[in-house]
Amino acid sequence: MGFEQILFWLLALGVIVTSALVVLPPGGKNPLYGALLLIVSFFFMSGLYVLLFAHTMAVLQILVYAGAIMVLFTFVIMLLNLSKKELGDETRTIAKGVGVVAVVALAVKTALVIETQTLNIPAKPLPAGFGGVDAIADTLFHNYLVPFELTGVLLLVAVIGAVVLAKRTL
Amino acid sequence: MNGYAQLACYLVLGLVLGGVIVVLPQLLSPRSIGRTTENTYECGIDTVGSAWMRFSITYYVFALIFVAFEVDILYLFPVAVAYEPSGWRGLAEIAAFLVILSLAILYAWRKGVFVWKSHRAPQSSSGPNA
Amino acid sequence: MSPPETLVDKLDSPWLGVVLGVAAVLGMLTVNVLFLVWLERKVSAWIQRRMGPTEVGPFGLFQTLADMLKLLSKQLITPRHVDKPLYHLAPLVVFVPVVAAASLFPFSAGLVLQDLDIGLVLVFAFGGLAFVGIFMAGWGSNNKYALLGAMRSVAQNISYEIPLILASLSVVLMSGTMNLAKITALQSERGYWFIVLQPVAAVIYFIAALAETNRAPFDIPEAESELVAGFHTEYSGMRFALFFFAEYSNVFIVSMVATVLFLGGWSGPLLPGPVWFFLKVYALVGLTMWVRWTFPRLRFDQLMSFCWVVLTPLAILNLLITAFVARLV
Repeated sequence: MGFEQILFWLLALGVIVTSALVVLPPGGKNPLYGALLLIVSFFFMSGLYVLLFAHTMAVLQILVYAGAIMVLFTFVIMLLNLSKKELGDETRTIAKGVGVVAVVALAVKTALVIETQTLNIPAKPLPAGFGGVDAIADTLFHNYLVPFELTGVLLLVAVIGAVVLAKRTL
Repeated sequence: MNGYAQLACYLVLGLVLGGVIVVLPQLLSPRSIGRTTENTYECGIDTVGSAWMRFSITYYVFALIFVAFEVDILYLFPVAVAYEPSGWRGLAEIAAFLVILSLAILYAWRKGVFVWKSHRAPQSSSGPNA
Repeated sequence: MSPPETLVDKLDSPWLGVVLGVAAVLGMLTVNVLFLVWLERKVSAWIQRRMGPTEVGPFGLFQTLADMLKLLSKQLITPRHVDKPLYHLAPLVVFVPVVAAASLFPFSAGLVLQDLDIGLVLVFAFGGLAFVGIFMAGWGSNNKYALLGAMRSVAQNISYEIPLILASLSVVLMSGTMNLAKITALQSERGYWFIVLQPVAAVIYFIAALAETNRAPFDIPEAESELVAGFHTEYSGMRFALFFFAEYSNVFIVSMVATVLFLGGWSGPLLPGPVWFFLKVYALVGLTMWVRWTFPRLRFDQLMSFCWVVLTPLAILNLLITAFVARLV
């Protein structure tokens, strides 16, 4: 195993363990711990992106998820600030159902991944500048112009939705 | 080793060194603990209640608007880099995007989100903002 | 003042390079923080017609060094009701990104530890990580002042990050790169600083940077008259020192970004690159200190609405005009 492969397994293990801890205790007991563990998980994930030469993705992952989304999560936690009693166990059955679905999905995914492994797809060389800002900009400008503008609209709708919901309770 | 691996090493080494800095004084410093040494530093008398109370929803609205803008900006980074060779079409695209972005601010502004009103959270005895 | 970074590039072993690089960055930051704290005390003294530190060393220059040694021997008090893991981790989470971010800057042509194409975004990303640390500190302390300070600090920092990045984007749009070294080289090539073409962006950046670093007149998160010391109220000794270190280093880092984006980085006549670089950075840091000791503190709601109603629209408008003018020429 090369250095890169060892690094991959370490990072992948990190992602799995930290994401598991988000829902299991301590993350499951205290929402704030869950949110913080999620950040650690995102960090390992951005390490995986770096291994894939998707450098820009890796940095944006940290900027948006570890920075912005995290702040949103913590503010929501502060807004609700549920006590241990309120977190209670009334949603257990639903949680179990969701869990079963997730496990089935994971099993299917694993089977698919194993199948692709046996296909033996030949490795293709990366195009020059792959993963850099320029490459992303190029695709964004030429191939994905409409989605790019639509994202703007989508985020506008998100802001309007947030304001409408918050204003009702104010 | 590429720059990103180096950066990761910086983070790890920084963490280790920071840990050393925090642990080192444990060996040097005196350890005397009185009756009130470990009290919460709020005021002279005993602290009433925990600090973990509910906060105003206004914080949440700001956070959500921020996330939306942050994602917008994230798209603008590559666009700004590739702007030079994109011609007038590039200007039209970036202008449309920025106008949509401004609409979000305009809407929130007209709805009075940026006017920070004080209102009490139902659970806490004192609101987070005066 | 500048550490011997060129050494790092010439080394054969990358591991040795990393260790030396971290040592260089930490050394530079430590010297800077010690100097900046002294400078701040002297500047405030001059503005308030006092003497400031005079006893330790010439002009009291070694006062902060003595303070640091004192802090090293101080007892670390952990209050009884804290959330232990968060409380202990928070200073590190605030401290580590600072070290990584400071390693990204070009001090002179070729004198850069890590020459990355998305250097600018990385600096902002590491800046964003500090929010997490601040929040952990405030929450973990289980102190009302600390938590309030942390909430305010995070709300303020996220809001002002938007105009900050939008202002920097105007420069990125003009230069077509986010590589800090290339942005500097471009200004040196063209023979003018970007502040000439982007005065509005520079002003927006400066104001937003003041808020990002929790400096007066935006130092509401640690407004001592109402919140004791804000999010680090419960931290003593070296733990407090780590927050202090990060705070002053952040002032230094945002000034370095401003120097690279608007003031041409290392470029300048006669003097060697690093001298120009640090001269400009210190001029900006001096300006922040002057502002701090001159203006009164804003109110929290004024602060937030100023960001969203004035600064952000202005930054968007500036970006639009920049895009339009860039097409004309």
